[in-house]
Amino acid sequence: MAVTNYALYTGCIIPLRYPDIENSIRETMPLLGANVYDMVGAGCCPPGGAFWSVDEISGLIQSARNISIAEFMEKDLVAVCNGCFCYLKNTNMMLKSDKEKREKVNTILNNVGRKYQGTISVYHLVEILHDHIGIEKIKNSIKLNLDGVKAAVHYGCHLLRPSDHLMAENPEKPHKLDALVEALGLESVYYPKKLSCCGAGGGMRGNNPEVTLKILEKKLMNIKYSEPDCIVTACPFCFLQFDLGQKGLREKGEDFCIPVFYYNQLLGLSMGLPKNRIAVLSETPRDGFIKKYYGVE
Amino acid sequence: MAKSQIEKKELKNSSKIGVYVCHCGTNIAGSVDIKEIVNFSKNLQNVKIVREHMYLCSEQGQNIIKDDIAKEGIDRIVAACCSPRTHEEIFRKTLNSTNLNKYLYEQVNIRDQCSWPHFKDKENSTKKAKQLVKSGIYRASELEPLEDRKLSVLKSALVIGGGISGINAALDLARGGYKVYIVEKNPSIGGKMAQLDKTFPTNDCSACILAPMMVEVSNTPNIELLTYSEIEDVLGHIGKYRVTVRKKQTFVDWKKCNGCGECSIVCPVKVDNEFNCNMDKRKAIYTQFEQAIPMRAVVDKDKCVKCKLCVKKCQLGAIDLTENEDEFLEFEVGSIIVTTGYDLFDPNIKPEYDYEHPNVITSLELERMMCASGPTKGEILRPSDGRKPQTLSFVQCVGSRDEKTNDYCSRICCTYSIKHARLLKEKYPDMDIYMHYIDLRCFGKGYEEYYRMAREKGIKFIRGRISQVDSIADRLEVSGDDDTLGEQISVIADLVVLAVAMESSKDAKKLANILNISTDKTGFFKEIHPKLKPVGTDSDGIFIAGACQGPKEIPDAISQGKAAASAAASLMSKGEIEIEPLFAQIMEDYCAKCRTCESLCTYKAIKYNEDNKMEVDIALCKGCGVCGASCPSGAIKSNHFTSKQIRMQIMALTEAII
Amino acid sequence: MKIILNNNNKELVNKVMEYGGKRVYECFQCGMCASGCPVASDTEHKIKRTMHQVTLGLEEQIMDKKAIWLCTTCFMCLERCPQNAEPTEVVFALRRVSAENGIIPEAQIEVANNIYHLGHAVTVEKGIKLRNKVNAPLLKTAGSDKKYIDEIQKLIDSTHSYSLLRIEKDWKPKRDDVIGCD
Repeated sequence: MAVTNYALYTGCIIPLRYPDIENSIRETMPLLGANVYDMVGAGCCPPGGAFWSVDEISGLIQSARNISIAEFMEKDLVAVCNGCFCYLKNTNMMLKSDKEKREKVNTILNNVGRKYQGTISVYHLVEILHDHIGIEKIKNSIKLNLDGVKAAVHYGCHLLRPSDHLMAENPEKPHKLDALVEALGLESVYYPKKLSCCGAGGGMRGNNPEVTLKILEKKLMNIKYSEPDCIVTACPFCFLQFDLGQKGLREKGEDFCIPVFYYNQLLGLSMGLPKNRIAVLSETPRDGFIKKYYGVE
Repeated sequence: MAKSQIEKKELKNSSKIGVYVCHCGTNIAGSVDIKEIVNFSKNLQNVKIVREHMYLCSEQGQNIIKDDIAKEGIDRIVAACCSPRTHEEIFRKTLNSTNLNKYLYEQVNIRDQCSWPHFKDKENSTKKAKQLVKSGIYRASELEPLEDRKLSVLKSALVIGGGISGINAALDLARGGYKVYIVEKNPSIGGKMAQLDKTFPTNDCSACILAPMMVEVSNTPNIELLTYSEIEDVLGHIGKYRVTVRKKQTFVDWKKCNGCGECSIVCPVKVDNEFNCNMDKRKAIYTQFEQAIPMRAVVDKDKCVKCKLCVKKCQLGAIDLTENEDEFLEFEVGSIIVTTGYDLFDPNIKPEYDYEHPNVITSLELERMMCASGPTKGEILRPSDGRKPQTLSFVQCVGSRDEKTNDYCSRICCTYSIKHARLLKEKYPDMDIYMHYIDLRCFGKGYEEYYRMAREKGIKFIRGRISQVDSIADRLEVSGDDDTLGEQISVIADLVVLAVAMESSKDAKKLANILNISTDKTGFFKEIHPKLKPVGTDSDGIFIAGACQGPKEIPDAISQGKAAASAAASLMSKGEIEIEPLFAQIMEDYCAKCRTCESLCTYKAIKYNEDNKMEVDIALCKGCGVCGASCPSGAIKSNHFTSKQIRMQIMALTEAII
Repeated sequence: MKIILNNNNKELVNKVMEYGGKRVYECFQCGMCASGCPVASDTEHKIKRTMHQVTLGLEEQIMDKKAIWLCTTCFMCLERCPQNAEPTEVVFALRRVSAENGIIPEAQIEVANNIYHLGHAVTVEKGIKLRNKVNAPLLKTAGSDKKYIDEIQKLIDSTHSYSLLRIEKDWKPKRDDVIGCD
């Protein structure tokens, strides 16, 4: 099997709030011929709500610093979070083409002994799985087919948009994550406004907890339209929004309890990897789902 | 025998009628029961074949008719389908290609008369269709073969109005070898376009693109330019019109005058200058503008004080202030193109916009100000104090899209206001420009991009009609609404520009009467069909083009001018045309020469001739039938609408449908 | 309330363009941005209106309700804008103007201070506990070592964001909740 190596950019939420997702990525990817290596010292991407929202250059330098770590490793960077992917790829695109900004960034980076060179590419994990590894390989890697199980796929905004820069998917008719989910045997169901926001990003979850839940509730109402057995996403912030958000809504008396999975968690379970390392942490219960369909406690 | 039985017997003759019912997709079949029409028609007198077809006008449909004529011996065709206005010609041509005379065809319009107006009531719509089809069949049995008549056509044209549309029509015809007369009421040709500084969407200088065409007009030998002239009368018909033109007295011998302008310099009488929207003065003897064609002086008869300073000054001896009668010219032409342009809406009709205030101006006034040869030599200055305005508001749709004035959209105001705003912003980048609009209708090629560039220049577009303009100290408060903000807004402006509507020319009605053509409810000349015959009128040899037909911008006005030239040329090129024989015929033996018909004929087509006989001028006759209906001795037969044919129809229509 | 359009801030639009909202003038108020906005119906963030307010220079009205901070930056408006007016970039630019004026939500200050002091947007201590619970490998990101945090601090120190985001020298994370990450 051809092996490809990637620099794994984990961001903040996966390593520090959902390390089981991190395990699921670390354990599934090598089985598909994609080795992932730690980006030692990588910091926050940083987020759009804070740094990018006050000063473009301070966003750029922190992103450039992260990219420079992967450049030093001479490996393409794989982001496992939509937000990280969006801002890192955006930075990479911008600095590759804009000499003036590149020089400005490098002047500052030089103070900490780093340099942005523009030598690597930034990918989203979905692109690696779909474009580099391929559906067939994934189909062949699984031990259990979840035929007949309905999944509501949520792409999340920053995997798709702005498509001019990200170029990961058709922004109005994405298909890669659906194809990946269907490779595991699940049916990716239609639901209205599939491409709309979960309501977490841009600082909204922090700035306005009330509104963030309202937007999520609308999203969930649309998802419920198709009565899926689970929600699948490839973004930890969307995952967190669905996971904690449903809990928040339940606390307000609403009936939302759809199991949520990060894609590689489902992939790992289908490959027969142990649940207790890859799908443990969630506020919205999903043990029932795992027991029912994977037969593991 | 009862009367109806006599008529029934009369109905039966030897004709073999083929009836063809068209579905026209669902246009007809959607609300007329085609099967019922077919079954009903089968049982009517003289009907030999009844067929239905999805699209009868298709080649396949027409071939079925041809086959039936050849194989079944059908000798009358009745098509129950759409409008003869658009489709009669197709069927007649099909008949022409067989040995059947094309006038043995009857078309029953069960679409416009039945399925469309009664689309919610299929039962009654079908009932009405049956009645109409029956009337068509009865009439068809009495149709007679007729032959088209040929009419000779003069290879010369009259163009009325020397604006951009007329200039293009005239040049195209002249280039094609036709003799062209241009009649223009002003001293110079050029029209409204001559008053413009720049033109959208390219911002090219109006004079730069207009002047070469005007010069070509004056240099083309087969164009005869009659400026400062008006149409007095037009007689005759398609192919041969007799035109009388009144040449207003200029008091200047144009053969001697070289347009040097010395006369104007010495003239002591100052008069409001219409060309500059009365914002400055001209003299009582003047040339209309700097690039005038012809560049000749005229004397304003009403304003001249006869001091004769000009007469003394003119070294060429061209001026003679003796008042004479206007001169009348007569000539004949084969066709006429009307390009008399438009007038602007008078903003005084909307007092809420305070046009009386010196700093509230119209777009054309602004245009003149922007022009280097205008009253302010291209500088934008407040008329009240000559200071440069800092804040400008453009008020759109003044006199347009308004049931109280004109309910139509003037089409060009959005884009010309954008042009003004852009040119101003380019010249004065710190000027604050607001445009208050209802919808921005920048519909033409390149116009959307033109609008985009206006936004990029920082012109502020505010959706919401302006309620009123009030004078506050030395400025103007423009009160409106901002749709996006959802709030009342106001702009304190130094200059307010009213985008006034295009209206039909004040003389349009008079000319329409002379030419016997129609105007629509807005006063613009009416085209015969908005899509199929956009430059045709209901007088066959007379065409309309440019803004006299409706509001339009320069490219469309030129296109129409060229379209009208093409229509006129194709009419004149062979030197003769075929006309339908649908005219009145006098049956000499029955005529008592009472001349009732002559007095009733709207088209002056019947005359008592030198041989003491009533004579029909077949070119003038429209076949309306007034003469025939009024003739006390039944001596007039209207071809294709004979008494018998009509009686049959009436019979069919008054009989109950079984 | 009636708005007199002359009394506006003519410099706002230039500033917004300089700060990244380069194409704000392209907007022709079609409403595509607002019609697909996930927050429009629940908040005062009306992006079509904001675009218009920028061109009119109505800075007070924009800043008054702090609505620009309610954008989730989902980029739907930017993706679909038929004039490529990039409304999301205009929001970012307005946030930058707002931050200059000292108006910035507390939550963002919290996130920024977390990043400055911990290398991450969320607290590390809780993270390590969770990692142990699921047998995750040793943390190697910025939060694992003071030397990386020093590096990030040095970078932030050299930008305006240090003062704009009110970075505090002594900072104790206020909560373990995830406040923001993208």
